[in-house]
Amino acid sequence: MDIPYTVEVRRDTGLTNGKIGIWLFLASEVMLFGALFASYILIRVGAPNWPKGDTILNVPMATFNTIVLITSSITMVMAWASLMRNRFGTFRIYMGATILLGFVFLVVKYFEYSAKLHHGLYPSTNNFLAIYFTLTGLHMLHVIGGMAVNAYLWGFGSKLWKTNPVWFTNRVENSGLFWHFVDLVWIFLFPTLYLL
Amino acid sequence: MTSDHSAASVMGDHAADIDRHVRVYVIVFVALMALTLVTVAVSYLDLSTPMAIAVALFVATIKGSLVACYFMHLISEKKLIYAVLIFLSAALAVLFGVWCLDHYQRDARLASLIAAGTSFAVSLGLVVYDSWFLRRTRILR
Repeated sequence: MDIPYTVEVRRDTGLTNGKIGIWLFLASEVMLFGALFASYILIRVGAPNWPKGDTILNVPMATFNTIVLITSSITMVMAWASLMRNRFGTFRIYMGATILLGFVFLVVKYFEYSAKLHHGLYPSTNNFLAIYFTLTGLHMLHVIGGMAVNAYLWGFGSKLWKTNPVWFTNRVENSGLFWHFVDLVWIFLFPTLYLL
Repeated sequence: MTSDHSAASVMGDHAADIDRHVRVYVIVFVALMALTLVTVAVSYLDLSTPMAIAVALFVATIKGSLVACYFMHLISEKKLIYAVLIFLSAALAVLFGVWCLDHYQRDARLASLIAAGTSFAVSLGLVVYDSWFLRRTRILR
């Protein structure tokens, strides 16, 4: 049986089912990150003193990673726009760039984490580091998840373009929504953890 | 079936529309880059902590809104998505209210109680607004 409303929109919702699905999922993600951000605020407000992020963390590395993620967001949206213009080759290039930029983010993150651990800074060291590792670690898992879906759409999944281009375009759009959300979370993580 | 094929119709008929979209994406991208530099530059200014938090969150909110509105197409999204997001805000407000209440039980500060009350009031307001929003939204019959 085919999945209903992947291509045509439902009349009562005005949307494809995939679009509603991804937004409901993103809503649950906001609750997840929202809970952790709220914990951060309350722990920080309740602490007698709190270190400024840049005294412990590496701001140039994080700034570089911010630029990498923002760039990957525009390549993602350009990948979708390429499909809308019926240019599959361009889609491959932009989607490949998005995956590659995600990989660059992970490599920088690896150096950041290993430097912390090398200096004996563990999640158990203090509240600041516990929150830093929890929030950035969860965010990193999301980057890996987004890369996995994007890699599928770049590779095997792109076969769908030949049989049902509109469905494939919608899939890329929905995957993009998740990717932009990951970027959005980082936009808040970067100043709150590294700069304040 | 009168359903319009959102992607298909744009694919065929509105290639110029997509060109316009792409121009907007590039402008948003440049703005996000500039605002990232602003955020980092401001952190070197040695502002007082409350001021630094206010500026950083203000810039982050602008950047987040740009991503949500343009890259995630929220600026021209269907009403049901807005309804979901309004309900989400209400749920977040309840979550924060419960936390403040928990804080109040331990520190007994009036500020915690006021924060909890405000969160619950905001949440209730959002639920009322959402139901009104859904009722006047014609597409959801």
